[in-house]
Amino acid sequence: MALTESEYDRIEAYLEGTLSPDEQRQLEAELAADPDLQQAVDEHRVIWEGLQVPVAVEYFQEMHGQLEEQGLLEFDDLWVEAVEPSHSSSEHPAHPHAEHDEPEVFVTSEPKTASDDPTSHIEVAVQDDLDVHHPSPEPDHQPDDWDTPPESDNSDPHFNGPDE
Amino acid sequence: MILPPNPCSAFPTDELLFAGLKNSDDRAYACLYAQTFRSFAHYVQTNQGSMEHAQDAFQQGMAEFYVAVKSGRYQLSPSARLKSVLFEFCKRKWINELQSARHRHTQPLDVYVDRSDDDPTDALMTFSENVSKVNQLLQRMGENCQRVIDLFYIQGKPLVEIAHIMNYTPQTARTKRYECTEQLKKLFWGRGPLN
Repeated sequence: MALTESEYDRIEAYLEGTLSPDEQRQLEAELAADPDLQQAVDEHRVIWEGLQVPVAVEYFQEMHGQLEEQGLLEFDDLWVEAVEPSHSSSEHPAHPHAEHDEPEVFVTSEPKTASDDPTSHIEVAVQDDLDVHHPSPEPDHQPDDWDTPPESDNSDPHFNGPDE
Repeated sequence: MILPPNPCSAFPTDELLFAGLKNSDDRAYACLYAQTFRSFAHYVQTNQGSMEHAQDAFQQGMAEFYVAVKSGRYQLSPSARLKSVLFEFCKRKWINELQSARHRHTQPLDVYVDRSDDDPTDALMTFSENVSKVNQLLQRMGENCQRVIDLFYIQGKPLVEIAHIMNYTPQTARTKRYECTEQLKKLFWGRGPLN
């Protein structure tokens, strides 16, 4: 079963999550009662998702530039994960406004080429052989390893994704 | 896009981070990006890639992860940290890329991927394959259909503007959007030839 032209906007609004709660309930009731319509929406969803990805790539290209500009992707003295406030006694130089941030991972100098020793430029607290034998970027920590949000962050504006 | 000095400070747990991702919160994605990128870049650079490869591959993986989260394809896994899932997903995509024809004849590839039966990246890899297929099929469509789909879905232009750009009436633009998307759908699901 193909979606009709008139159904398109409603189905795409549903996939976007922009239907009103009433409209969403109505459509979900129709989907529950009509397996053919459900299948048509499922098939449409796959195409719609595939076409959303190039938009999202542009979003992350922009984000990369922003993170780089703010020093969050530097290969020198980079903070990556917040820790318990009690573990940190001074401001981190890369993030003077985040009092409780403490570098968990330090990587020095420029990245080396594939022919270099992959273990040589990791200094502290990161797996030194992040090669094909290791499935994760670093050992997992329990949630209590995380920082509690400083009050100053409460005023941070909420930024929406590219689709909103 | 302006990010706070510490994008992670609002997300002290994976549950809160995932809630931020579901809400398309820039800070949540910036946090996950910053937590994962350097490890992935190191992985790529020690596995036949450059920093540029790492950026491209990570942004593609991150974009697919974003859409999978947004559409509900990916749900928070109690057994794996988000950054670990994202790293593993991007890593598997990079390995696939290395194994593709572009790299296959230049250097041998000896890789090991640790997988369990309920590996949360399996669903993401299936999702990624579908994304690739959709975009490859789009490239095989007629020029006008490619243009209409690009303008509508990727550039996000309204149908009225598409009509102006393509020299269509607004109704024709709407119909073309429908017909071209249906054609892409038929190609994807193996129900029709290219017209």
